[in-house]
Amino acid sequence: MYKDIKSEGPAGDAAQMSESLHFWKTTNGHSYRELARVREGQGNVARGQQERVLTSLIRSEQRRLDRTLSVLEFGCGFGQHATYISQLSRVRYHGYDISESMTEPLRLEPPASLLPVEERIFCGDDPLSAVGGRKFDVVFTVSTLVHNPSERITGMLETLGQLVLPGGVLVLVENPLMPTSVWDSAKHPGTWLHAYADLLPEGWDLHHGPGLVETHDVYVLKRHGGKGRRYFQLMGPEIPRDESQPLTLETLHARATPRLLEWASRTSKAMSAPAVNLEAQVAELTAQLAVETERFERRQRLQALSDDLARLRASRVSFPDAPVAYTPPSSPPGFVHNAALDTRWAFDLPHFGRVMHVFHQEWHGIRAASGYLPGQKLAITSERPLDERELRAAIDLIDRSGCRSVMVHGYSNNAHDLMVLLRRALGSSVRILSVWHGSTAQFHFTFELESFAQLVDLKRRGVIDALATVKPGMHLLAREIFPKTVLNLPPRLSEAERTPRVRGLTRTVLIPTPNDWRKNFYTNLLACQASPRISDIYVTANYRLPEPLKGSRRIHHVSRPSRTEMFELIRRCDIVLNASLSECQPMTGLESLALRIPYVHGPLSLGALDSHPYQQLAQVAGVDSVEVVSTAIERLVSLRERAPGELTQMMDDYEQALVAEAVSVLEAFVQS
Amino acid sequence: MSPRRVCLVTDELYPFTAGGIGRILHNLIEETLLRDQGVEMHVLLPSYMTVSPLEVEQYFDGKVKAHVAKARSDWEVSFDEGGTYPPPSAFTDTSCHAQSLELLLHLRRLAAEGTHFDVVEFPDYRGWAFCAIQEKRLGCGLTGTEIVVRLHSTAGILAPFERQVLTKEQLGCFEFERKALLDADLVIAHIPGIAEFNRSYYGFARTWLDKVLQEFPPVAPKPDMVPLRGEGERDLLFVTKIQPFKRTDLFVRGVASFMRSFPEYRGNAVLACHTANTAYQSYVQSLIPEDLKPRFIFSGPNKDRDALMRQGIVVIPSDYESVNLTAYEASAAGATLVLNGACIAFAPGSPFINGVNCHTFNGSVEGLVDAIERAWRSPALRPVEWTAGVPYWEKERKKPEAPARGRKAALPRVSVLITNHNLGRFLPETLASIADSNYPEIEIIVVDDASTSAFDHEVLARIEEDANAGLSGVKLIRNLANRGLPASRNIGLRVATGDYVLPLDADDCISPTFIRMAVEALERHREFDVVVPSTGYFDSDEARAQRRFIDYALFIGDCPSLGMVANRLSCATSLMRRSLFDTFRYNEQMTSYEDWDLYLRLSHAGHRFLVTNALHFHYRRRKGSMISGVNPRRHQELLFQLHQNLSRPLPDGVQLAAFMLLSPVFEESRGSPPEQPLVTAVSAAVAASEVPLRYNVVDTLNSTLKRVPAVHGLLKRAASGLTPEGAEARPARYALVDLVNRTLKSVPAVHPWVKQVVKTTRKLGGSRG
Repeated sequence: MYKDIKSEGPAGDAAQMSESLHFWKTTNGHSYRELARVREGQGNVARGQQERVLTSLIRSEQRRLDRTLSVLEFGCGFGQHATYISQLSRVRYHGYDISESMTEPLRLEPPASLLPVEERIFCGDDPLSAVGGRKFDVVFTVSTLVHNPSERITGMLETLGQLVLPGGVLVLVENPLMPTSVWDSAKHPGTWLHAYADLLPEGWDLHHGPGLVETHDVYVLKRHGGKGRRYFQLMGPEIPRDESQPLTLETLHARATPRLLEWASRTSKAMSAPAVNLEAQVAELTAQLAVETERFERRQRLQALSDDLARLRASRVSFPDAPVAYTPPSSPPGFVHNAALDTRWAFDLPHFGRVMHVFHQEWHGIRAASGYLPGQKLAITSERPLDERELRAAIDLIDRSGCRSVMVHGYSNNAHDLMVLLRRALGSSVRILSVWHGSTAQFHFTFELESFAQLVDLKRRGVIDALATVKPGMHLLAREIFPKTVLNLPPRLSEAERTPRVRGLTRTVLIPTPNDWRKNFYTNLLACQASPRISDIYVTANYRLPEPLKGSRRIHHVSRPSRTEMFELIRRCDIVLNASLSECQPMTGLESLALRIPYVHGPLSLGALDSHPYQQLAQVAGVDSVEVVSTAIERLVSLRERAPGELTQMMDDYEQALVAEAVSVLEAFVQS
Repeated sequence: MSPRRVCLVTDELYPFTAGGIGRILHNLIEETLLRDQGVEMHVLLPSYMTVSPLEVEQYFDGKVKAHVAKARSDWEVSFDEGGTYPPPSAFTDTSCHAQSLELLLHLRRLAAEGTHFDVVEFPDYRGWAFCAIQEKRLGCGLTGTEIVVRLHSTAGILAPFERQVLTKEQLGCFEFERKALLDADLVIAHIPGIAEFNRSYYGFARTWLDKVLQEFPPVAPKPDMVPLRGEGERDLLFVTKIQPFKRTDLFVRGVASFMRSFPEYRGNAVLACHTANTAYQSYVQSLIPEDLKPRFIFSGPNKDRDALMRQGIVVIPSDYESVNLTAYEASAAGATLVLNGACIAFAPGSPFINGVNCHTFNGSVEGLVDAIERAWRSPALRPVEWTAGVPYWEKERKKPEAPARGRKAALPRVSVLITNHNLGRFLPETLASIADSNYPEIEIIVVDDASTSAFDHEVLARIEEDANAGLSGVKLIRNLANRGLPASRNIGLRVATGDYVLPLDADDCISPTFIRMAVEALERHREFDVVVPSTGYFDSDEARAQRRFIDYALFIGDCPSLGMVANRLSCATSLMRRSLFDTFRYNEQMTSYEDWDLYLRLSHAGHRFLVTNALHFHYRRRKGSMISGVNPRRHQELLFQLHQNLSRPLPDGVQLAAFMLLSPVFEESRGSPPEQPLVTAVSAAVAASEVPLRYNVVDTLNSTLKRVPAVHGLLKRAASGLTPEGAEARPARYALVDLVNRTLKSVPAVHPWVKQVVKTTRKLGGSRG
């Protein structure tokens, strides 16, 4: 019904096309980048949106394929998208552009992630030969097809289709959908607004995503193997292949009609305005570009001058008030093998020598737990994505370490990549075990919930061999989960490192928890204030207590103590408090135990250990009651005062029972 | 008519707060809701209000949307896409500026959430509209919003009627109020004469009146019928407030004279109101003759005010009121009114007509006695009649056409003038900050003022190479001998080819978006000539990259009064039209303060400044920064020089009271200051100064000008708004204020001198009214 509307460029499509082509081929990418910068004005929302959509799409395809993704941008220009996409982990970015001059900035100064550039950036009239027969998981265009007349679009889509690997997708971020293709002269050098639904080649699906980007629509195209064309609503860049909402061509037409009307009124307005001579327009634009080029060069020279001067300065001895050169915060090492922190207090059991524990450098609790376990240690970072090179190096290290079991504690993207790659590289010669260090209460945070779900999924897919938890009963959630509860070990300390039995009371307490709801910080603090046994309180958290609630106890703030500082702090105290609302097996508790300082905590459910007299003594039920917690302080401190030997004996015994049980569970898990 | 979205910014709203302003706004909202013309009403309250938005919304049956500006903690910096905004504590002596920014940030937040207003109305007092106006003029936000200021009474207008001690805070407030009124899109006045009164007080041009709209507000509920007057002798009532400008003293004197003149009058004088000022109350009580004391009753506010007023003669002797709601309420309640006809709210043109609905007098005691007699003898008058205008937000008004931005032939050029003297090592960052600018048409002129360091010579050789190639847009001028900073800037100006100039010291940096924003704003608004960037101090380039600042300097822009005693005009760097330098030059005699000097002269010549709300100028704090080298004595010399450079006569509206700030006797003590030997010398100078009692304005000005540097001295660093280097536990300005304070307290001779200034200023204020 819309076919009767015929719109053409002023000089006919062919002429328009050749003019457009000429424009792009002769335009210098540097100048165009300047022009784009000038046009951009204040904050270009659309670009940020494009970036988010493309990144989510690429990530979702990556999840699906579980490997490094090869991506081609068709019409990459000066590299607006190249820079950030090429820096995504496990993405190999390629760019194609018909114009050599437009890609100059990319080819002359490629970012490190685009090296070697001749393997990544291609130019030439024929895209198929330019890319040298390569095919890609994702091919995408941003505002590129709009420079081609609609007669050529179906053909171009077919060509693009040939660049897509079987099972891959073609993504168009192009003009908002039109019911019929029209020529729009609003923005020089003019664009076509295409009716992609009608121009779709046979055998393809089109997922239409309006509204994701302010100025464009997003189209995801995939082959469906059969004949004909199918249409779906694009449910979001995270689920580009979702077919839950099929659409008809009519729906799409109806959806696009307002755009046509909008175009019509815009065009008629433009027609009624005094006609601007096209040639004059081209001349003006050319002149404008010349100015922009000059400005660009000027800016570059100025930048170069500034760099030169900075170099000159660097070659001199420092000035008394010289500025400190800007150094980006140093990035953490990708991984650290058997660091002193992770081995110094570990249990030394030779039969665990071929177990490699993998955990994160920055997650202190889990790092401590992993650090006290017997076996080798590999601390990876969670602060930044590990690139493929680093992951391979880590796997190489594991391979050469002789370890045949890898126990991964906690879950992150890096941990995920490592496990998947490890399985792929070493096959069944390695056992991959995973320990989840959270509780179901923490599922309140989506991140925790998702992470756990990912682990269960990895187990189901056979990427990992076994999955255990530190919280009892979690095997009821999924049958894949190891039924016994993994117990954390206390640090292995020599007798000299423990608190001397003869030391008197110091009237000092430590609250080692962060200030959050789950950790119940204020109850602990106020219980200390209420206890006549305490005069000094050490805290690690930041908090604010209003004047009327302040007590007379001295409060000392120790921020981020190191492990040894923490041990020293614990040794100095009569008691350590962590009456939290939900907990697995707090490491400060095990550290206090090893140091022989009593530790108040909430219910733990550790099976047989629950009935041990020490746990019964230290464990409180009503953790959110100041009275209950301060009674516990009284109970433990008075016992320590009355019969220090008895208390220490109890703790010795408890530690032995705990270690025996923990080691036996660990053995069972490693051999499961 | 399309629905309009209106936001009233206020800290007074009936029934949540007392006072007439809140009552007027409440009535305006109610009437608008009643007419139901599709106007969506919002109110925005500052964060210090205790009323919750929900209470307000419930009171208006959910037909009004209420917002409370988000409070920030003292050192909390804000960020959004507009940039980095200074924390509340950065506004050391102008809390109204901090409030204005707080309100603006909330409006920005609302806009980001999709709530755009057609109209945002601010009260005139405290100049809250300031930041919103800058934001709009600079094109950073509120672009489609009409910014309106309603004339209630500015603190500045009330100042001449109230006995008070001038502080920098108050004078700053005066400047913000002035600028808010001057630059608002629309100004609302309630009664005739009030706009002209403000215009002449602030010294605005007549054209300012073009944007004033006069609308009588709904002042009181209209009575259904005129209540009957009570029987018996009527009391004389004072029901406003015991406060100097309400003139309780005049009431007491007039009533006492009346009672003496007409012994047959048996009624009493009843003062049924709050007391704002107990000292004033004692003074007023002391005026009552002993024998009449029993007939003067200080009852405090009366519960049934209407019944009381109906039985009495209500006397309102105020010198100044913008709209006095009590008069309307009293009239509606059936009271007989005696009004001060010299007060603008009751002057001809207002709804009050002598002999028809009230009895007026000329402001004298004799006149008051006469008016009370007329009120006492004559029959009841009619109640006052008034019609409230339909508020402007309901009316179709022509929107000022946005100037059509035709195809511009070329972008205006900006000449960046970098002056260097042995600071070559900082040039890389300074040049890089220009190279990072998103404005493309820039030339750079480096003027080296005969640097002596070997390294600078290397740097200059490298720049020269580049300048000779002529491609990077850098020009280099090397002075043969040291000429000083102002001369170097003038030398640079001579070769500048730009339409705009931006002076920049070799060690400072500018944000990447400032130049473009400022150029576009000045292209759009020809009435402004300067854009001032708010300033953040950095101590390392790393801190600057992360926009971590250690201190701030915030500016008012053109402030002809406060600017004479403190540089709150602008930092050294600002974007100026080059055409200004056809008539102005940096004063080459100045060895420091050359920027202050230039900006003050520009400001006195009527040139207008815009000020960014976000921090765009990055000032390097290092040992040996020019400003840290100014000692108290030099400050005096420089300030003296600065005042000599001003052209006479001073422009209309300039507050000579500003000079009082140079002797901060009244500043509150903040703990014991450290001792300094200098103190004795200065206090001796102060003690020795004899102050002539002259009434002539020019003479007073001259004498003040001459005396200023000698007295002032110690405030120096505070006055410049810049704290020196050297991390002290507390800022030096505090220490200095304390020091001055304590010293001057112990010098009795200062006191009469300051008193004299007060008197003179009073007279000036009075003659203006």
